[in-house]
Amino acid sequence: MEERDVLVIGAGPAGYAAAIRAAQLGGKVTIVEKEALGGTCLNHGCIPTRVFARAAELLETGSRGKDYGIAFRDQTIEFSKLIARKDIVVKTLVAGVRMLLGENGVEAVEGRAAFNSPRELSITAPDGVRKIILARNTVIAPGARCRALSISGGDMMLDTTAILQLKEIPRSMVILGAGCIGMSLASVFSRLGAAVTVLEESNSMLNGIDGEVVSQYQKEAKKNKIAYFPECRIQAVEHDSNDGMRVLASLKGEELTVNAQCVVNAEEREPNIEGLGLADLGIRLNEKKGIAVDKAMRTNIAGVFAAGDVTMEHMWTHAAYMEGVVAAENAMGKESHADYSAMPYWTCTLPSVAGVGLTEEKAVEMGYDVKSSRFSFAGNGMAVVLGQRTGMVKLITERKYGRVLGVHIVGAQAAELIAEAAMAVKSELAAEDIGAVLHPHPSLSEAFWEAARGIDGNAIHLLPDK
Amino acid sequence: MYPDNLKYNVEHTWLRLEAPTKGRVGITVYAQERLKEVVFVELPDVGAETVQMQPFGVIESVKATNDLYSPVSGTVMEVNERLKDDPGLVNRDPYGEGWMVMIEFGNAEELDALISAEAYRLAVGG
Repeated sequence: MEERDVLVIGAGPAGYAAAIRAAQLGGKVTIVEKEALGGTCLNHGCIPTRVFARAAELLETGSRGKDYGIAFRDQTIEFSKLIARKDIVVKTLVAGVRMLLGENGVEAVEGRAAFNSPRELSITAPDGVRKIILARNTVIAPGARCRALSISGGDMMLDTTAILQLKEIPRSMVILGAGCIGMSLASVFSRLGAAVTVLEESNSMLNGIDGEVVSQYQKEAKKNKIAYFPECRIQAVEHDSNDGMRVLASLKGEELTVNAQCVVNAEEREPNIEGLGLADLGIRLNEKKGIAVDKAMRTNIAGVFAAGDVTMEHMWTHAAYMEGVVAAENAMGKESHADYSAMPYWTCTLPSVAGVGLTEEKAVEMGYDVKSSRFSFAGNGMAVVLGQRTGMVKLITERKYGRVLGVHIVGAQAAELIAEAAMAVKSELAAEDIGAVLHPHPSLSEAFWEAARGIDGNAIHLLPDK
Repeated sequence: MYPDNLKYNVEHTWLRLEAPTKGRVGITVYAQERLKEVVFVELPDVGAETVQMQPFGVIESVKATNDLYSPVSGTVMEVNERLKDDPGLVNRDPYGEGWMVMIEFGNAEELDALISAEAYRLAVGG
């Protein structure tokens, strides 16, 4: 019987990070994946979405070329070529994961894994051949998938995987859920030419994100022509002879009908936990029906860890990487804990939104004496150069020491800019520390520097309060 | 500050009727003061269609970039070409030489959605 230090189930971001980390620490590692390496992120999530967003950005750049004396005359989208590009990007990154695993000495096996006992797993290859592996430790990282809504016609809705595999751009689409994923898809597809309607059950778009940033985003997004209905509960999806589909919903008690070529569920997800033998193993689940873990990514069974979306907690790839690494380190006998205090979020909307740490609302709720500062991209030299002056950087600190609690950005390149803010939040830097760091000029990053200086009223490119 | 013979919208544009269904459009003193020095005004071509309360152009100042919201739905008949070389006209004479477009509109009922000088003054806080 083959023995391993660590067996990893699932080769998405959590799984492959765990496998690589365990191998770095000298472990003998096998990773088992039943589909493509790279998981949701690479194959059906962030990466393909971001490729589409890139296309939308290029369209936008093309239409703004005239401001700089450059005419892009033929601005048509050949969707089949965009799909081909997306497939190349995905293939490249999947190949990269395969290479990384191989070069680190990780054995990658195609197949399905199931627990026979906490230490013994059977791996079934696609051809049905089964082998048994003894694993000192296992990291369960099979991810999650979209869950069909249990309403009439719920199965006719596309999930976020299917929407990224369309063969042509739909004329019209309805998206359920105005969270980061829903709004990113809405923004991208509307820029690519679809008439998009977003239906949201709660009363707020981008729920959980700093309120001031969301309202500035909404103001800027008005011209994106996305129809948005908050407090809207979907009741059924039906076929419609005209456009394809019809969504029946209730909007604050009134009936609402929206016709569209396709309907996308960007909201509900469920963990991929079937067939792993978890019930027999006695693995405990959490309230969200994901695998319950502690800060070391340990499940209730000794030697069995879980990481990534299967926990249903922090459904971001960057969280999955950290969780995979933490699980691997603990499996290899080190002490390591997951820390979500500086968890960035991002959207690929127009303008984009990103943030890290506490929102102002949350900081106040937690009892901090909050002092916040804003710097508008209108006052940033690089933003003027780029012709992208809308948006701002908002910095939230506690008053006494000026420690940065959260940073939220709406505007160009928000997701790139937030990395520096994540370091500030994670390192518990004070606004003053950031203000003392030289930021290259001209760059959008200066807006973060100015917002930090603004905490003490020392921003340079800001009109003084009168 | 806000001439009585103009009609306004809350997005800080004014409309001066020059015929029952034709009017000149610009931005208010309040808006230009907030924007500070105007450096560029992007206007539509003659013949372009406008939609009430939708952007018809962009104004860029030393402080900010903002959309210009059309007071009525109609067709652009004239554009203030002088703003190309001298956008500062918007600061110096917002109700006169700093006008932006002349719009001919079909639906005079849209005028009901515009507000008076007094209502605009209250809307911008006095």
